[in-house]
Amino acid sequence: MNGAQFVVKALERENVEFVFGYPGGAIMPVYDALVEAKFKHVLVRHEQGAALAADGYARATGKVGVCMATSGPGATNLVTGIANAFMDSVPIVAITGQVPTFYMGTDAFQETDMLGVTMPIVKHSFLPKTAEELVWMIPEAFRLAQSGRPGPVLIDLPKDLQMAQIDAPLVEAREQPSVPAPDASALQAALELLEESERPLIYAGGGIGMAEAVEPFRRFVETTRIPVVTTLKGIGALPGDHELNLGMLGMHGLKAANMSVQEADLLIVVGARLDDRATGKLDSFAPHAKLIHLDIDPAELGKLRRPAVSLRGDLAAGLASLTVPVAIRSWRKTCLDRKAAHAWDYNAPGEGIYAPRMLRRLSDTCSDKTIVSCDVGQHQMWVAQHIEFLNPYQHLTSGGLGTMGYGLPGAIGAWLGRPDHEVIVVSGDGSIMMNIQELATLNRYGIPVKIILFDNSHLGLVRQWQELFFEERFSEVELADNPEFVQVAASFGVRGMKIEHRDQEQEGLEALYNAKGPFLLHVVIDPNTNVWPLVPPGKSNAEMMEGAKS
Amino acid sequence: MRFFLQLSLRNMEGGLERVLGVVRFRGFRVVEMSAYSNPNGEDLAVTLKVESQRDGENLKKQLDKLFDVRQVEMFTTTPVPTPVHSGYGMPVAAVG
Ligand SMILES: Cc1ncc(C[n+]2csc(CCOP(=O)(O)OP(=O)(O)O)c2C)c(N)n1
Repeated sequence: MNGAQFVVKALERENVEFVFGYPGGAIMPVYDALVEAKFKHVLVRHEQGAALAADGYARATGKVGVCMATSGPGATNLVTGIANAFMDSVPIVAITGQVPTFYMGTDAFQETDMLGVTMPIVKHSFLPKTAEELVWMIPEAFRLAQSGRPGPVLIDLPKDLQMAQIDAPLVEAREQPSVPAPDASALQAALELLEESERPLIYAGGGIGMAEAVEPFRRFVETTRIPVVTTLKGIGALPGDHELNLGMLGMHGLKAANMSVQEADLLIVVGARLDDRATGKLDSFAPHAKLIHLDIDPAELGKLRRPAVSLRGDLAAGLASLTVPVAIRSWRKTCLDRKAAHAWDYNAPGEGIYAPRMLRRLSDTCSDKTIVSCDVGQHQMWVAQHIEFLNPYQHLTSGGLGTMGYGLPGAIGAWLGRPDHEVIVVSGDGSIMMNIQELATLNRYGIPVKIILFDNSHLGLVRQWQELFFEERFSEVELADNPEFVQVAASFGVRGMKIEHRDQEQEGLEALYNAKGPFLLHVVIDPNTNVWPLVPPGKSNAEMMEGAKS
Repeated sequence: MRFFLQLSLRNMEGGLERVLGVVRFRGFRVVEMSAYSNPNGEDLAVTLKVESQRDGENLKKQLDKLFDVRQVEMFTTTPVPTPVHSGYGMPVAAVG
């Protein structure tokens, strides 16, 4: 067996179902071995699509996503996707071809120092120098991607090792170290804080879904009956329509959520990292609150704000220990009254399509078998605000990196991982163009992903900031020269429809749902519609702006 | 504030570079550094003197997460010089 065949066998051993990739010179022996692989290789049309599809697969399934590319430009094209997975703690393994070891360091054709390029955006990276090292490195890469706080792992694979003989047997990965329960005395201290608190609030992050702690989290909420705010990635930890769910906090968070955080005397932060988009100006964030912070990553505890109690370790165990009734009736009522007072109002002037209302309509038709994969911009915030998700894995969004172009490849990975789900992309006219070539991938494999493309003929979110914070000096945000998207889709073999008026919303959504294969619904909206509420950058979450709907 | 970090690393591809990358990215400046490999070249003992306005404890926790880092300790005064484990003594880099 040669090194390349060994790699394929080792991936089979890891129960890999799909590898998203694109071939080239330095990875050709592996592509040769792929002819006999038991798993499926999915040919994307740009390596960024491969890395983002691997990310979408991982988020939707909880398994490791795998992507592959050749050396040099193939490998550097993966970089945005690797960074995306790093920022959102998504387990992927990226395998890149590398020039032969004897050429490394000579500026050989398509030689890029991928270990160096990716160092700050991977959990770890391997560069084997002998074929035998692959025996332990491949299982170790999969183990590392998933262990503790998950993340991307790179294996940079010199071509001579792919062709070298390996006689070693496959080995199992080392066992994952078990995640310890948080320290007992810290749990006791946390219980005391909980007992003393008059205005506690739960701050739920993406770690809950990733730790598969949704059930213990919900038991904790149901028993304590403490109101909950979520981060962007924490959406779905509690069902969107749950009475105690005050919604997302932060820059485009809900008023009830941000106001409650500012008043709370105790924040129970669960699997979250206090990102600046969520906290606003840190000095004035939750000024009256002590923190109980639960996370698997010790480096997050005290990174931005010193908790009164740090609970490092297994979320499920930590939450179970805190699952006690608390007496906070009047505070709960304050929060819930506020939620009711600031409920969304979907009345908007004019005859045009109001994206938030259309998304609410979509939300009403979603089930626990719907996955929404977003791009980045105003439409992404509207999805977060207006679709009520039942589980975290149903909402795929590029949170930490904010990668325009995530939506479509993310959805491809998600559907392949969960083909019994309806997978919907919500995109913008700017974002869709970043990975539009992946329409070819939908067509090639008959992937029935449905795309809702909100077209405001602008880079809407940037336009909004220029309007509000740069004195309406609009600079390079207008996209009136967009192509006819339905025609573009058609030329890729994807059917579509364009709607512009309010009374076409239902018809459009029906066409989308009824389409057998992939479908693109091109929805023209008013460029002046902004996302509200908004906390201006660098300001406290107490200083939320509200504006007209259009 | 200045303080010392003493690390024991797996001397694998990129190990020392990763440590220095984390130090820089997290907002610390290297003032002094020494690194010795053990005789079989598998491990590296590294001592760093760094300075920053930022909390050193946070840097230590970030370094501790690296796969290559077997152990990391923080000192406010000059630590017992390497070798931290027996067998160290082949300098691979020394600056400052
Ligand atoms: C790759 C990348 N480039 C630039 C940005 C900065 N950016 C954030 S939102 C945005 C506009 C997105 O426009 P569109 O996809 O049309 O969505 P809209 O805001 O109009 O809903 C831009 C340029 C980004 N997040 N990602």
